[in-house]
Amino acid sequence: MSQSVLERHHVNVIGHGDRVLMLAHGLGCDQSVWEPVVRDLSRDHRVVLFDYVGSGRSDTRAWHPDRYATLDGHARDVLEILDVLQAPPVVYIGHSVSCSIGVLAAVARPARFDRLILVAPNPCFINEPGYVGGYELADIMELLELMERNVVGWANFFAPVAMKNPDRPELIDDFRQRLCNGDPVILKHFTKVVFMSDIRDQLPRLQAPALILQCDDDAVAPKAVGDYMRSHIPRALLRHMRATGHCPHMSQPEETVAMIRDYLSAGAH
Amino acid sequence: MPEAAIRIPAHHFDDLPCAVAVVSDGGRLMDVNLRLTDMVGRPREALLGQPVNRLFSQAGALLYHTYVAPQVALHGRVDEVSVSLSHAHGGLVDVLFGAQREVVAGAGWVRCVFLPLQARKQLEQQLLTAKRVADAVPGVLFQFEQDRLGRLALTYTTDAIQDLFEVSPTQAFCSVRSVWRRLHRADARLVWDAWRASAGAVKPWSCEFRVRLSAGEGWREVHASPRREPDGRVIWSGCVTDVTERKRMEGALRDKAAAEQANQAKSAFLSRLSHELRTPLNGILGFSQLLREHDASNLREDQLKKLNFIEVAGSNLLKQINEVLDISRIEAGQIQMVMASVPLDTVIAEAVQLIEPMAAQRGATLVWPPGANVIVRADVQRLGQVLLNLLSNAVKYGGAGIIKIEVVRTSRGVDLSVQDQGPGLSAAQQAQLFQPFNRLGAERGAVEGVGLGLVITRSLVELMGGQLCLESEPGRGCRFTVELLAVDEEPVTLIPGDARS
Repeated sequence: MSQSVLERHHVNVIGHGDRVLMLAHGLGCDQSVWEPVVRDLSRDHRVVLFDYVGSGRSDTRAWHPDRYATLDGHARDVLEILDVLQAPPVVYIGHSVSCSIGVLAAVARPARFDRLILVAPNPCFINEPGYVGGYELADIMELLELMERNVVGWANFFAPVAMKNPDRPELIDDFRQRLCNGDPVILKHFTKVVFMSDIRDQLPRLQAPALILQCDDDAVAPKAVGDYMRSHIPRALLRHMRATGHCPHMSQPEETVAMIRDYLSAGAH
Repeated sequence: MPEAAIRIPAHHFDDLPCAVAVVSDGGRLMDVNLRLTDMVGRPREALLGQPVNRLFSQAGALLYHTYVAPQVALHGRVDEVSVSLSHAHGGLVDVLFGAQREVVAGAGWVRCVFLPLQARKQLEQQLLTAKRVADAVPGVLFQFEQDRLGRLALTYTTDAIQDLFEVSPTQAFCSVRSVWRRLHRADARLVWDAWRASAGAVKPWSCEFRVRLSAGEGWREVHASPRREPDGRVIWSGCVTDVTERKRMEGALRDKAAAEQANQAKSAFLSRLSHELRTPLNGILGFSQLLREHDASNLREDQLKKLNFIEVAGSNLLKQINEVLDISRIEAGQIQMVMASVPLDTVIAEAVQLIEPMAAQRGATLVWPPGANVIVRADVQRLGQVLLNLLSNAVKYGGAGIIKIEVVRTSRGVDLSVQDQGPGLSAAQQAQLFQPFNRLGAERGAVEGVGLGLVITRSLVELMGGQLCLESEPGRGCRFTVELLAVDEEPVTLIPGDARS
């Protein structure tokens, strides 16, 4: 069982230190997105990296639409990994949708979590009266349509090209690489689950302290969302980054690491 | 503007028929070409230094940040991403997007190309519609190919392969074996042979087979048509459907038919056996009767007693054989009712007359209503058999006490009931009461019979259009009620029920 959980998520534990950091990737990514940040953090921490089922090198056979019909299925996976590793309470660092998954997991099993660092979180993308998530339902529907248009080419039409050209290995390599980017059927499903999710009601139940990293000009997680998170999580600290866009750990790893270290060296608030 | 951006400017490509932009890792527009400013209807000055979102629709911006940007950062490039831009004067511009990242002077720059989609957008839309239909069809649509060297590859499948085989489309494309492994071992040979035959003759491939999945076993059915290409490849196009439910129903029907056949065989056997037994038995009874009538004066007292035993045992045996014959006729549907208007008083009187000696012997007293004056619709002989059976049961199992016959008119018709003062029956005993040959343990007691009486009685009542009900509880005796159809007019004649032999 324990081995199968670790294989299922292609779990890697690297670095040395008393503190255990668990790094959780976002949509359309895998654990390698943390590489620039991990290079620094693993010098004095134990860093746990994993891929969600359907992403990266996870075991896609473990995927089932019912198990992952909501973010809870992924939160359960996070807890299973922590159970198997028998780690002391961890610092969970999540990007984007992983922030929501981390909050769900920490609300379900507070004892497993020391604190949370939420990089560019958005608990609900769709605007409502009195809440700005950044998007209207119509925008999300259009996104799902775009996503579907983009994965059509992958699954059913690219593979035959690769298979019919055994004399052109670069096509097969490219195809393999695309496989590493995740299974298209799962990706399409995951996209829908992510953008239709709403975990706002769980925020006040989060006991662990949380740092919210808010980027400048982040189209996915606008400023209003960062403010909302801070005012609804009981022990939250909000910090604005100079980094722009939605992926500061990739575009500005130095600033991201500095903010993480700064928060870790301060006592719990 | 940083020096690095100037080294890879987009405005060098102003005269190209496609739009070009340079974007920083942080998602800011560092340069755009003229074609792009035309495409989004905004001047270069309004775009430079702005977040890249400015180019996209809301959905396009989400796609860029959550899907395109991570792919570019991880793999250095993306190809042919379908995305929509927003035009300054409103409306969306559909484009095909490609991007490549390079690191210059320690900073990452993403060069992007946008190709307008016009006719191709419609094509893409149609393709998407076709895909949605294909994915929504119950079952898996697939294309499967054997090349001239005999190598096999799945070249198309709908997403439903995940549900029917627990294999993702990408897994299936990489290896046909991943699908093959789901087949039930016992059926793999059959599927293989059917496919080989189809490949050899280029004839349709159809078969049913089992698959083993995490939730258990299921049945699948494949139908596919092959065609041979000039280069020697054979390509099958077809579908696989889930036929688990259909197979389950077929199995249940087969079991039911087999059970019915077995039951009919049993009835036929019993009917034949009873016939065969009756012939010698009639000989025994006939000759003992002759002996009594013609040679009684030659017999001693003790010999006469023995003759009596032979006659009683023989007639009991005959009665039981007749019961077996009746039940087998009923089960075979060979019994015919001759329905007529029957005065109930006559039937009761005849039955009471026949049963009284036996009742007296066991200390039971019969009580019945004088002159009920009720006419029912029934087969007179069979109704007599029913009442006689209920009365003889009451005498046999009710012991000494009062046996009461009652006639009650109801809204449905007429209820004829027989109530005894015996030990009664528990609910569990009542549930087993109408099963053939089940005597509720009486086979260990002193009362003779094979347990068919009540089964026959109930069947006869039902054949006459009525119902047999039982009310009982331990210690309160049994009350059997025959619900009969009433006839309002006076009986014209009493039709004798001897139409059968």
